[in-house]
Amino acid sequence: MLKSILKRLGIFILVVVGATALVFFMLHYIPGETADVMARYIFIGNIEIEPSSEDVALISQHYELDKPLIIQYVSWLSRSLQGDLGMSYNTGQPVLDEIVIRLPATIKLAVVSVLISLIIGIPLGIVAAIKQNTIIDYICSTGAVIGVSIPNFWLALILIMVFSLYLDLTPVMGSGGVEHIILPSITLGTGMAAVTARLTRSSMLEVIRQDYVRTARGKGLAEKTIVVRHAMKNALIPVITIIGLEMGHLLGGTVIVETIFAWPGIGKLLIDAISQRDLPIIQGCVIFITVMYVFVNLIVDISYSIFDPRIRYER
Amino acid sequence: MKKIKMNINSIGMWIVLVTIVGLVAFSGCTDQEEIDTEKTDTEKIEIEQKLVIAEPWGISGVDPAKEGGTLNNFLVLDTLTVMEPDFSLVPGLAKSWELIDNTTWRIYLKDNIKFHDNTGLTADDVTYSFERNMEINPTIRRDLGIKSIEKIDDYTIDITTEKPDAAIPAALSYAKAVIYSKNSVESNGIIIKPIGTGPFKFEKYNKATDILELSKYEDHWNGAPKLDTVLIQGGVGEASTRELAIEKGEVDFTTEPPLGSTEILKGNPEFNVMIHPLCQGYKLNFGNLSKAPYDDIKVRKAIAYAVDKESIVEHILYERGEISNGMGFVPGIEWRNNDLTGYPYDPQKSKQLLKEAGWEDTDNDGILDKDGKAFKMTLYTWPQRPALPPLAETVQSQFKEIGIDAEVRIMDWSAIKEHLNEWGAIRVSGGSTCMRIPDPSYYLERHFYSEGTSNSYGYKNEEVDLLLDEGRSTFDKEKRYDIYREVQEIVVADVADVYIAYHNLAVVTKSSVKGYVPNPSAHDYRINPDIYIEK
Repeated sequence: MLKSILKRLGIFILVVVGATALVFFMLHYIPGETADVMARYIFIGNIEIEPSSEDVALISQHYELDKPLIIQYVSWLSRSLQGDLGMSYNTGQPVLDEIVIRLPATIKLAVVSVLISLIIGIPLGIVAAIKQNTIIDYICSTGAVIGVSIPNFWLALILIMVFSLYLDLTPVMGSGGVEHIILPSITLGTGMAAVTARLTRSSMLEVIRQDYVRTARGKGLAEKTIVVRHAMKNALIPVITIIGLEMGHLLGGTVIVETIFAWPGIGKLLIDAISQRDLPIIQGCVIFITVMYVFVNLIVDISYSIFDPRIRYER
Repeated sequence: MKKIKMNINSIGMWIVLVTIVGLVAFSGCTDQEEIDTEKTDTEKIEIEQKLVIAEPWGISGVDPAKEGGTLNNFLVLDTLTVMEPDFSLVPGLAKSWELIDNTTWRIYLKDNIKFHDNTGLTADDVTYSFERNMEINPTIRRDLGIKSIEKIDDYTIDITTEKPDAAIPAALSYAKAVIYSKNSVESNGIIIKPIGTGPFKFEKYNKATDILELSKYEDHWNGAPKLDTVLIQGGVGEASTRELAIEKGEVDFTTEPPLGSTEILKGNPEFNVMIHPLCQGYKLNFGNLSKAPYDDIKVRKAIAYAVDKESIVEHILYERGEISNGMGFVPGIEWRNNDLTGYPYDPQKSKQLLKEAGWEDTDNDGILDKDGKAFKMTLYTWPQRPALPPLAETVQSQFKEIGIDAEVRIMDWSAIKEHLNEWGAIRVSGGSTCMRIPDPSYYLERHFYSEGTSNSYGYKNEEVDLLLDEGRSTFDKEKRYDIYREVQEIVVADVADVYIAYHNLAVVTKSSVKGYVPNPSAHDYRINPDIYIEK
């Protein structure tokens, strides 16, 4: 177990270096000169006004953008390996502070959204599998297709109209209180629930046909016991994998939902930073997202062994 | 039957389980602060004098040297001079100013101004603020045209300039030339709690929720404002969210709801919709004026006549705009040349001009050509300003009528620059504030001086350069009027760009919000001390 964690840590460092290097170099090849963009934000405060060439030169010099890319990257890497992620170009605040302050909101939204997707998705998937090729199955499957197909921004606005405007149950936007999380998490959760339901159904169908399930039936076990204790436990392994991926994805931020609900998460921080070419923030976010992915995947792997004792991490 | 029941049981189990987990997850959350909904307001007998604003842009920081004027717009920090809603210049923290020699302006400060921490404002604070701002953001020095700033006595300062500069008093109203107390600065040199002199005090800024909280400053020299608190929720970037938030009553004041919603909101007695001009607009910028085809003024004129401005204002801007006279200054600005008429829509004239320039459809494919080259070009625009993409598409179809085959490409504004040297490229742009200070030099020099910072299209007219230099160094206002009116006339005659329409800002408030005075000089809006809440 320890060995596998150490191995993961090694891979993790490689992944972080690789991801940040990739992002760093890619940023310099997307259209728009970095210093030009930064001058608009930092000096002028209005993206639609063009900076003069003096401004651009000044910015280049001040933020050492005139040095070769590889030197810029190495100096950033050596500083961050010493724990100094630098300051945001735009706000002048430490990168770590900027990320940490958005952490609670991001994690809350991700956790609640995944929970919602499980509450809806797993029971639906199981029912659809047990009632395969009945009207219930068709309703569940059609519902799932619709759920996947509905765009987030549309669902978000419809939810606001129904629950905030007509029923007056939830606030339209903002963050901080428990009531603020309801609509954003439903928006994200329902789309994922559809995926979860489809996956649960197909994996459940596969499991029910296995010999041991037939054996269990032959032993005269109650259908409930068969479904919950024998079939479901095995059927959930692929579902856990997808939950892990979704969780990692959500922790990386959800720009559209964050924008509509004015939810101050990592996604908006990252997207704003990219459009402002706020390199330290971009790199900080990339590290954060990588850490989250690796961490979630570790948990997923560990949980496999709980659901399927055949999977062990001893070697 | 039995099976169904069991499944329902297991579903129930799931729900219970997940609810418990959910509750555990939630128990960690504490309410930090939240925007109160109307319920709490109506429960009170006395009406709470609190204004909640949904602001499209993120607030992101409160250091006056770095932020883009938010604290000035929300009346926390003042400037030495002030631009009034009619674009005129009036005293702010300064009571008067005079020119003592060609390159020195003497500024006399009011002696009864107190900062929010009850210390008095003196010349030291003014020089400190200017020097700090100019050091952190060097462009402020250039934009203001200031060489040095010096304290003469506690209430007098001298500002020296490189060249004679008539725009200095106006430049002092620039939102980035705000004055704050030295005590605002923390030991590490940053500002997290700005101390200003305005009608509202900075209470706190919560970065996690992007909410800025201000409170009434009782001892303001000009009397306390009527509101007790102002809450600004930053980062409400989605126009539909802003509309829904005000419809729900969650906020009292917001700007720029979706373009198509103007009429619906106007028809609802619960809201006040104010549409007022901003000094901003929509225009076509030629990619390169020194290259074919736009080096030919006839082609530029033809383009100007080909755009149906009226239909754009009506169908694209939904009346949230006004036809321009060819120049960026909106009506009401004293420096505006009101004699200009611009280029009214006239496709016949346009075709005629193109023909004179040698552009004819010789192969009958509906596209003009000259020396074997077809008039095929690209209109570049960006998506952040919602009216721009449909506006570009409208221009595309209007170009088609005169035989120009245009393609519309929508991309990030920062990426467009690289494409402007392509043959025939035109940028369809918006924004571009014309009066950040109440002096015509700001807009005209940036856009039409041969070395102007926004003159990327390469407009060069020596007469205009000379006039702009002369205007900046002439102190007689009447003479300046003449100079700048002439500049506008030449620039429009040269068709340096094609100004289509001014952008009007839509401000939506609850009808209980009274006393808001639209301020077209603001960027994009500014609250005023007279706003109050009435039942």
